[in-house]
Amino acid sequence: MNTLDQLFWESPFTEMVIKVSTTYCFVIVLILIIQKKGYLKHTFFSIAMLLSTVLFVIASAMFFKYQYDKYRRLESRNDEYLAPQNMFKTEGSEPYINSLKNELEELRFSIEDLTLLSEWKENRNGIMGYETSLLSSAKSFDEDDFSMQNILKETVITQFENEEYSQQYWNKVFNIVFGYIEEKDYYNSPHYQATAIIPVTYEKSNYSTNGTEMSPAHYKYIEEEGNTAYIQRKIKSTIRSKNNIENFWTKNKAFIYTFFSKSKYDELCKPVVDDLIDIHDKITKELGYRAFYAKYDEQDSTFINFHSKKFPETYYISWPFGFWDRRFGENNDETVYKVLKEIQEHYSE
Amino acid sequence: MNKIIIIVLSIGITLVAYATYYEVICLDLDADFNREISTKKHKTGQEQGLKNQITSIKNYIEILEEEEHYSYQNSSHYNELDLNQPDFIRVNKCVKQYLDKNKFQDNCEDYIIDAIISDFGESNFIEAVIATAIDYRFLGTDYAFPKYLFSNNASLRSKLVLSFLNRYRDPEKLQQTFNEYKTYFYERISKNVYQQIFNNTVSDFISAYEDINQQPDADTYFKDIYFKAETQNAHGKYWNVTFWKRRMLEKNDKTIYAILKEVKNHYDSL
Repeated sequence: MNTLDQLFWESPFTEMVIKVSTTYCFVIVLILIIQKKGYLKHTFFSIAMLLSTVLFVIASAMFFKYQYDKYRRLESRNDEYLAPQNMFKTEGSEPYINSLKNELEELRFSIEDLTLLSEWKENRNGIMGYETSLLSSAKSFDEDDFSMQNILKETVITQFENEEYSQQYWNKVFNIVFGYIEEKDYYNSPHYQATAIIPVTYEKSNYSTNGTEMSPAHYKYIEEEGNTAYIQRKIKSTIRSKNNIENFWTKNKAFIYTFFSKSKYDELCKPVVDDLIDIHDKITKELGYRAFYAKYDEQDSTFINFHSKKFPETYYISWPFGFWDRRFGENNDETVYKVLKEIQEHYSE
Repeated sequence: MNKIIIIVLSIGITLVAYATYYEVICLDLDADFNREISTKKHKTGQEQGLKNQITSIKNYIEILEEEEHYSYQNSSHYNELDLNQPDFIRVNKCVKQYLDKNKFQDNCEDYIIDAIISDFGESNFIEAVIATAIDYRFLGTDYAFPKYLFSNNASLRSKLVLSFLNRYRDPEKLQQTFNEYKTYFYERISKNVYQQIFNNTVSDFISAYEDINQQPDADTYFKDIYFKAETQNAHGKYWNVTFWKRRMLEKNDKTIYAILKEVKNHYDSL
């Protein structure tokens, strides 16, 4: 029984009772011993006994008064705070809380749901935003304003598009990407250097556009700009789903194998392909690698500490790590790895 | 003398006994008091929490129901395409032609949509279209949504949305895109949102398709429905059914039905 436990082990009351009783018993025993030994005359003995008992009674009476007062005090406190009228006030009452819960349910949507819905309401304005910029741009668009070189660039891009996916097309793409210089029959940007083909921004050309005559060098410059612009646009707009990558590879691999003889492959591609596969194998051995890569953004420079500090430094550059980070994020790493392995095997015979 | 001592001792013990009794009662009173106070605190806390939730949700709903005061002047903070880049010269040409003739020439729709997708992203575009199909005043599907797309006075925006959607009339492309993004959308759209906003529409279309398949003669059935729609001028009412007729002509009805079923099953089993 809880209250008894409380009484025995927690209440200071018990301690006092035990103390007083023990003192009283001790005194009595003392008197008895003294009397037994014959040091006390009978009258004194009786008086001593009586006195101790009276003291005991006085202590008990004080106890009693104290406890009784305490009881009255607590009772009036409880009556005041826990009165029925206080209990059934609307605040904190069971029926009121239930009515609030019902109201909450009738609102149909939780805060998380409503957050999504207001995001969507904002989001659809995105299309309106595009509509606006299209309309305002077109309103102020004057074709003659666009200089000759921009029109030429568009022509270059359209030409490129028209050749899409033929052998000629792929030859052109790879020659551009690896920086083929026809006069010297030489590739300027082999392996890793090819990954930097797309400039971050297009610089203003140094060629003047006064008059309608353009120098051959100027034409060449525009052509190069157009080509890289096409490739950049293509990279950005290609769907990176697993299916699309697989289909695209299957449809075009014949052309790619045709372009890359074994020696060309070894010179231009092998280091990158081998590194990518190697690094993927090592990365995926670590537990929790996906979560680790999900934490970092796609800057190549952040992958210094993973695995061990030395690990990325043993590679030529840290670009492959960023590459796989982006593939993990796009959820197509398995497919890409499969394709890379296929390429590696094809050229290892 | 002994008797006196014994009597006095008894009185003392009785007093102690009573004192013990009152101590016990006091312990009970204390326990009661503490329990009630903490229950009250808990309930008041609970009550305040519920009240706060209700207020925030109501505020949210009020904001959502507000009429949009979207004006072109205020659009500067929305997505913008940098159309001064020479790459988009043909997009500019296309829109200019659209403004002159109120329709798109040649492959203009494709150019424009491609330009938007390269900036916006395909899944964001899809999500924006979903967002456009909701009526925020009543937080349900906007049944006037198709009307805006196909009306003769459709805005450029509606026409772009329609062009974008037209890409998915090809059943393979539709299936491929669905597979690609479904995980994203399943996570994004909670069961409650699906139930409250989309379930009715999805279920209506599913049962309309199943009805059609149970008809002994589908052609007669459709003729009948179309007749009713024309004479009662109630195309909206029979749209669930006529929708499937158009899908059968496009040969994507089976794919779409399968996708609808899959979505419904996914959320029903959550």
